[in-house]
Amino acid sequence: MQTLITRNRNGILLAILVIGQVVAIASQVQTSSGTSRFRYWSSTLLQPVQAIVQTTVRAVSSSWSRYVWLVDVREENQRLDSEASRLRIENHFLRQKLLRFQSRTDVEAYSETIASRTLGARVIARGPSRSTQELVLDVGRRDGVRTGLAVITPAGIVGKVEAVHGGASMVLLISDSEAGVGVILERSGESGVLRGIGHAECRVDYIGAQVNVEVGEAVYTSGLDGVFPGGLPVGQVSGVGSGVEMQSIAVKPFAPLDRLQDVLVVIEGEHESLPDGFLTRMERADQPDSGSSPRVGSVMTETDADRIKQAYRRTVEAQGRKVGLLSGTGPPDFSDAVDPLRASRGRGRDSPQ
Amino acid sequence: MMSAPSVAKTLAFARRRSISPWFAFGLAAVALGLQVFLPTLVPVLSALNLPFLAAFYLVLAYRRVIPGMLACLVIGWAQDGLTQGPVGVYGLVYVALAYLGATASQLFKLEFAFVTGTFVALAYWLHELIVFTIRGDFLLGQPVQLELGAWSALAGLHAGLALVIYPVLDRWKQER
Repeated sequence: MQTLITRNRNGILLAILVIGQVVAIASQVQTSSGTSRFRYWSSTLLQPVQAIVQTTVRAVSSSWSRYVWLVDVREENQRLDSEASRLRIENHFLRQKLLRFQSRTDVEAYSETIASRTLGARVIARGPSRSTQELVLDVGRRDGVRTGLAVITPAGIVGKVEAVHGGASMVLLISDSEAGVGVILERSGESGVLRGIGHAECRVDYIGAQVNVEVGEAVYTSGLDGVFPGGLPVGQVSGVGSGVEMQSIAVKPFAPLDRLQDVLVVIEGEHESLPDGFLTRMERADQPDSGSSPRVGSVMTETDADRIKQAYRRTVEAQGRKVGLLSGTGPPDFSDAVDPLRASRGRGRDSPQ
Repeated sequence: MMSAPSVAKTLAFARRRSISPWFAFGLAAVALGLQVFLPTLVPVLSALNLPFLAAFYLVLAYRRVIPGMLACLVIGWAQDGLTQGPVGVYGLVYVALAYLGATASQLFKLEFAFVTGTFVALAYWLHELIVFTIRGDFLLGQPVQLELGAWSALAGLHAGLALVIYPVLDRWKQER
């Protein structure tokens, strides 16, 4: 070996000097990408080796840790299980909180769109008995709540305040068998009374057998019960059963009565406008030659208010006056309208007979 | 002007003697000094590579590989230090030339001026080729051109210059 080195020492020295200087030059020079050319060379040469070594080491390490070295795995499993359970519970609570927040936001936004003055409230409990459909709200007398007020949500009506305490109040849901709400049907405009039957659905009473009612038809409050302002959504007809004189109409409330969280208590009620097209349909039904049932139309329009309105309008038109304009002709003389009005009232009373 | 036989006699006489480190050091210092100074007076002289001539003279004078390579390494590094480029370019070139020159000098009779001139010309040509390689894509990535004609002309010029300078250096060394 020594002889070999001695014999080739010139070549060895040359190689050392050449390689050393090549490395020295390369370490001083940068490539176009800004890295040292020496680093570029070395990484190019070593990268495959590094990749092979890294892959081998990773494979061995992975096999070792996954299949051989399983100390503390059981404890870690238990710890992760408990942590997962805790996170699941936390996730559930957070979801509930988010839903409550979203629901509250919807309710607050809705309260600004309706004419009635309302008070936001949160449901803090439900009735103690399954037979009674009741809720407990977190607002009471101190907040201006009194018995008989309507409770609504953006989706639909909920019930009315039945009892008021200092800081809480109890609400009787419309699904309770004791509840009653004046309603009208969307298509026919027929009035009826919504009654609870103790579970998810309600029924509408006093709808004659001759009225055409369809499943899917919406039901609104009529405002005639003195509790709920008119025009609020109530529910949807879910079933129609024929009878001899009256129909049996099932209504599914729009409001999710079984999972309410935030509601509005109507402090001062104002009637809402009915949906677009509702009155148009009613007026069309009023025409004798319309396609709708004339009996339905007559029931719809032949109210005292309609008759009074028509009588006064005819009187004003006969006198050639314009209501609301200062034409200098003086107010209309409505004494002429009395007789037709009495006549029409008499006709209205006689008509059912 | 010396005749060819007298040049050969002088070279043969000179290379039988050893070279002191001080002489080698002084020769390198003078060559480097002139290399950077002369072009300021006569710009065309920048085409000359006096450190190359000095280094190759030492290689032929030593006629041994290791001293020749070490001397050339030092001269090359010194010349690199005077440039803006990376250190090691001329060191690498001169080391390679020293190895080849010292090895070849043991195979040929340097007493003949033609042989010495040919050696110098080949060495200069090789030196340009190695510099071209280093400055090109191999290491520095600089824009270089393969100027074989210019290299050959300069190789002849340096060979002629060596035939003038080397006998003077031999005589000066002999007098010391």
